[in-house]
Amino acid sequence: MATDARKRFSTPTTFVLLILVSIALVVTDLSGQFLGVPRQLMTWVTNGLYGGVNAPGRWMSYSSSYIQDRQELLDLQREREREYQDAVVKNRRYDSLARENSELRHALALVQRSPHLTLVTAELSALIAVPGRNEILINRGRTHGVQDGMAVLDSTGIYGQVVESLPSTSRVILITDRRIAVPVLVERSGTHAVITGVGNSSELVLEHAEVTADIENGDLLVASGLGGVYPRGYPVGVVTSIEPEASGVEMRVLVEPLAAMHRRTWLQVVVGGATSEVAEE
Amino acid sequence: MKLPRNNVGFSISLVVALVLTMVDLPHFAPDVLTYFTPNFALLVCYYWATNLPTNFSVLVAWLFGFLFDVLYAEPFGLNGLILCVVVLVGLNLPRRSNRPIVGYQLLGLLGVVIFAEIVRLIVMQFVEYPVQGLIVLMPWSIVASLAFWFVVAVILDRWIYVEDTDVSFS
Repeated sequence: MATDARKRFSTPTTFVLLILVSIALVVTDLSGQFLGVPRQLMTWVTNGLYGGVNAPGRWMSYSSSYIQDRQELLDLQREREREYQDAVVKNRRYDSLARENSELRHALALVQRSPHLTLVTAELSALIAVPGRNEILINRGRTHGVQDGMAVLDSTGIYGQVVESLPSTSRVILITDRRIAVPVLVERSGTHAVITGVGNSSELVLEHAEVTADIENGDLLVASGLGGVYPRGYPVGVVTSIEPEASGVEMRVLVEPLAAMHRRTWLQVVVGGATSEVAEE
Repeated sequence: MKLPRNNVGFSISLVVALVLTMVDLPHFAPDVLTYFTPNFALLVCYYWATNLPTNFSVLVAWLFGFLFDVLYAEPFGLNGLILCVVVLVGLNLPRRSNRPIVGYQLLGLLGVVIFAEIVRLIVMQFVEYPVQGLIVLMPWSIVASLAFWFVVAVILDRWIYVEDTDVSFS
């Protein structure tokens, strides 16, 4: 019976009728006058259908892109971390080179402004890590003209003195060592004095300074040239503290060395002309 | 003889054709594939019209076409008209032992696919933004429909269709 019904709906008359209805619908729809509202209503239904049909695909696409994006981000992060580490290393190297370059410029400037001094440029080889001893090794020795007792400078101040010169290296005692004394004079007043180290790389002490001595905070102390070791007029340090001793006769004067103790790589050994005066910077 | 399996298969195939028409291409698929989209509705209707003429009503084809008009936002009646002609051709193919002759079946398919594209071209010329030029004939869609026919035929023949021993429609 069902088959008969289908046959009934498939007669030539049905075909013709449906085709005519189709053409009528097409014409009516194209005229845009009568089917606008039904089409709008149907659009709501079709939108829902489209959404439902495409939801799994969109979900899968979203999921895969999310996973892919996350993996890409992780890879990118690792790559950036590697680049960052490389950059840090490179940056440190550049900093080191810049510092070394700056030191060399200062050393060159020192040579240029001290034409009477004969200087040998030396590089710091090692720090002698013994408590109470402020000593270093430099890579210049007797073969380079370095001898015991010669002064060692950096670009900003007196650094130390050679105490043992070997063929290719030398041992230098810093002015911050307790065993060394540097004759100085106060640049402002011309007062002579002697400073010694206290074992601290940032501090010197002016020995036996009487309370009547013309010394003030901030005074620049330069080498007096007495003894013929340190070039006259070369900076040594700046007075940072003046306190009267308990005896009331002397005062304790602390001096900050101008040389960058333990922070220099390039130094100058005065191999000649130490008694001449250093030109003002 | 009534064959429920064919009725179920027929319904399922129509729904699948509907879904395949509506579903978007995967995001990784190249856009050029949109030109190769087969006319699934036409293929399914043509298959059932040629292979199961006794169980396939032209009214169902027309309603199915109307549904596609709604989904495609095409002028009402356009796909109904096309599918009516498709079913008309499918039902009237020469047959042997209640099955269509393959040569005629393919020839009929070629005709209805081209007919469908031409009718769509003509009608779409009257819509607001008609596409000019021969490209609107969409030869790639025709090629894709013809190529996909073999997939449809194999799937429906092998897993869906059960041969009807009832008298053939004529």
